[in-house]
Amino acid sequence: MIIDAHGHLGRSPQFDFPDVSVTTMLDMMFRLGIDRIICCHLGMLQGDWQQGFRESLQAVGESGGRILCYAGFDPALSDALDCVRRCLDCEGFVGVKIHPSMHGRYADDPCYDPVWQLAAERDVPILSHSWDISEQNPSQKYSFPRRFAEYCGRYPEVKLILGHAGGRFGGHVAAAELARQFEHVHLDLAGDCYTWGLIEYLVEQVGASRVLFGSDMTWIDPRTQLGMILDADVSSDAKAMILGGNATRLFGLEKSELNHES
Amino acid sequence: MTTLVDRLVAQYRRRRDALELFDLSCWIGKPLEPAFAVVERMDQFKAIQCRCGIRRAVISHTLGLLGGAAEGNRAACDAIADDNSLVAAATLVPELARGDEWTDYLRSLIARRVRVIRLFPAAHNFLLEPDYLHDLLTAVTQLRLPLVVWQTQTTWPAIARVCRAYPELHFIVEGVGRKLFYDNRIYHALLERCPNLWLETHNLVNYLGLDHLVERFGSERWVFGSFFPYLDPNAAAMLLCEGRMSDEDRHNIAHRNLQRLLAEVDAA
Repeated sequence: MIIDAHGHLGRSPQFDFPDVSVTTMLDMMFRLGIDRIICCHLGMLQGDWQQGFRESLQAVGESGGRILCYAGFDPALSDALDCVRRCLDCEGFVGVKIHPSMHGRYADDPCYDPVWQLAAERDVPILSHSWDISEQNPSQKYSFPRRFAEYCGRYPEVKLILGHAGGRFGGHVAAAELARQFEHVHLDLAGDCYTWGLIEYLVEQVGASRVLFGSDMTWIDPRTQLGMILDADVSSDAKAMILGGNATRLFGLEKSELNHES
Repeated sequence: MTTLVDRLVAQYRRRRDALELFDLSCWIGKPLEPAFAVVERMDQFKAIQCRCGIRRAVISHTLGLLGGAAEGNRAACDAIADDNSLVAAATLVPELARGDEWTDYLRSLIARRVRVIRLFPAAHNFLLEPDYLHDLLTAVTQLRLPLVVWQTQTTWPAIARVCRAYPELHFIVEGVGRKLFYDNRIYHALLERCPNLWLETHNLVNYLGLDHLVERFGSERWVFGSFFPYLDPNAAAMLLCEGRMSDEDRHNIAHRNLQRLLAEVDAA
């Protein structure tokens, strides 16, 4: 089973998204052999939580379970934690997404404590954006991998996925360091993170069992990461783990069946 | 699962290799970006080139950007001298020649298999403006040399002014330093208005972005590039292998468009 552990539904106003329909996403997945994708609706992160929630439920239903969802946690909302609870009570929501850079809060900010606690109670993974320090985009400092150490130490039972595996070179190195320090930290390959030798480096540093295929679709095209993984200089077993084995285990999808009529 | 993976790997490599990739954006020299696997010299480049399915490439030397343009051009020409699958990109700065001297200077580069020109206006502190670079741009246009500029080295209005002032110039924008597709509302509009504007593909990685460009503008204004060895060429290659486009379109982008552009230099 190939699982994309880091996707999105919806669009951002930042640029022109050619097509964000569920039908097209499912068609793309079918063409590439991606069995499942786990998405966080961009609305849940960017100020339109209700629409994000509604469209997430629709996508889960329309896709027969091929599209699963993260509950977006926006610390700016007064009822942010209730929103996450509401999601996790629904079928198809299998994790929580946080985005410290988008929300302007450091990853170790106290505002995130309740959501780590909830993830521990519900036994669901947290996916977070992570990136390198960037002069061009100063808000990336909020998601620098070392900033996650505080909560990783406090909640060893919560599986954390560092989205984009730190984003750029310095972030990749820091993400690998964090994953070496904490066994419950996983790294995904989503986004335009194409540094030559990245997959080989991550597998060598943290082992293939903690590297996940993610795309960032509908933002970034999933074909780009698949090309990198398929041609990477790592074993077929490692590729199998990265492409889906690890996500299957992490999200407990071993016994979960797809509705093939959808 | 490993059987499935092995099948997917074999299928991908077969499709990629059939594309006969001709890469506009390969670099040697002191790295422009930190990397996990350093490729600074031609022997290191060649060892990896085949594994990535890159059949032919335009080689740029980082000395042209980080050091002196003339030294960088010499280094690029030396690097490709023994390998006919490679041609070079040269970096120009305004003081390299004056007036009519530009044609002779460029002809001397063409004689050493330079087929592409790069400008770095921001890094080298000059203006990319038709008036300011008139002699240089006139000579580059007359000799049919494609001009490559990163979008972070200038502005889109300046690109539009150059494209309009030199309608015969092949102006290729390459996305480096910032996601090129963040500007897609701008370049969609410019592509409508400037038929001589082209894009290199390695940073056209937004979801369905390249497919959409092909659907809207056809396949003849995109040139495959990878920004190797800083980035993994398989990211850009897989977009073509599994692109929602005809085989004709795929091959245009993979190698034919660049081949046609460079043939014009030979004919000029």
